[in-house]
Amino acid sequence: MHAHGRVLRLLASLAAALAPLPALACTLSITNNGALGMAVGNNTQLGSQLGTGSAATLTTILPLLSGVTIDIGAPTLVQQPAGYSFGTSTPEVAYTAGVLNLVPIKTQPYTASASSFPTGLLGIVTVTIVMQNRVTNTAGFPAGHYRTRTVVTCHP
Amino acid sequence: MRVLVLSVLAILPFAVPAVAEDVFFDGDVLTSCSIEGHTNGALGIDLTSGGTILTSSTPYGTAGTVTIRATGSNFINVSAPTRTAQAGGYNAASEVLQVSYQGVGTLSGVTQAFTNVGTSKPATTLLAAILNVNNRITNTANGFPLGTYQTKTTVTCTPTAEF
Repeated sequence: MHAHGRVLRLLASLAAALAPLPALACTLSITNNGALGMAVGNNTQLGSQLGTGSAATLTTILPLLSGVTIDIGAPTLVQQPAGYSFGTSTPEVAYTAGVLNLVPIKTQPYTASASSFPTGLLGIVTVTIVMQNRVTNTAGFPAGHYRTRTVVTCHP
Repeated sequence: MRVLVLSVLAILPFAVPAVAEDVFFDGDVLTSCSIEGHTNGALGIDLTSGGTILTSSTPYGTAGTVTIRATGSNFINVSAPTRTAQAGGYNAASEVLQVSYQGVGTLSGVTQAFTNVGTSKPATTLLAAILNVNNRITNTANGFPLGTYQTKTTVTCTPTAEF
């Protein structure tokens, strides 16, 4: 009877030890969104590296034994004034990702497509992403407010 | 009785859910207008006028051009021409100076037949566009002695009409 009880207690301990650990998610944090500007004398391009434009910065903290992948979605123009010509418009994204600005992980030149990069087995480290957006439109940009959006995803 | 318990540790997979964030970029394109360049025209005698009309209209002369880039709501203002040079002995008593203009491409809606007053037309070009400008002098009573003649027209682009 005593041996049986010890076995039961042992199994109960093992069950507790083997219960699923709390999910360890990566975290994404936007340090600052970006701004779009325009070069003097050229209203066929609006971008974060033109005029008064500025880059967006975000960080992702990777969980232990990570192996997660970071997806950078294709950018889209989500706000524009009336009269804007979408048929001649091309939004693009470019970015650099690195650890502590010392260890580069990924450099992506301007692209209109989605992209992604693995983080390998880096764990409990912060990856910083510096992102640029630009929109080229051969028909020009009517006066008004513009907004682009790029979705960043961190997943297994 | 001893019971041998074999315990097998299973390494369970850790769930790492996906996390997503939207990154936004905002900017404003302001109303603006600029004159980016011009070419001067040339005056010639309108042979059908009996020597009483000096004009840049083809085939007798050459139009001047102005390159304009306008974003948002603007006005193109074209002044009445003035004469800035003439041949010796020229009698200007009965002269009439006039200007006409016609835009090209995104400025094609900007048009004015020959007039002796300044005019303003609303315009939005987005990209750089050309405005062709002509001048003419009509002097029915006294004609034009041999020599060099010059006229001047001022073109501006402003948020409000000047004429």
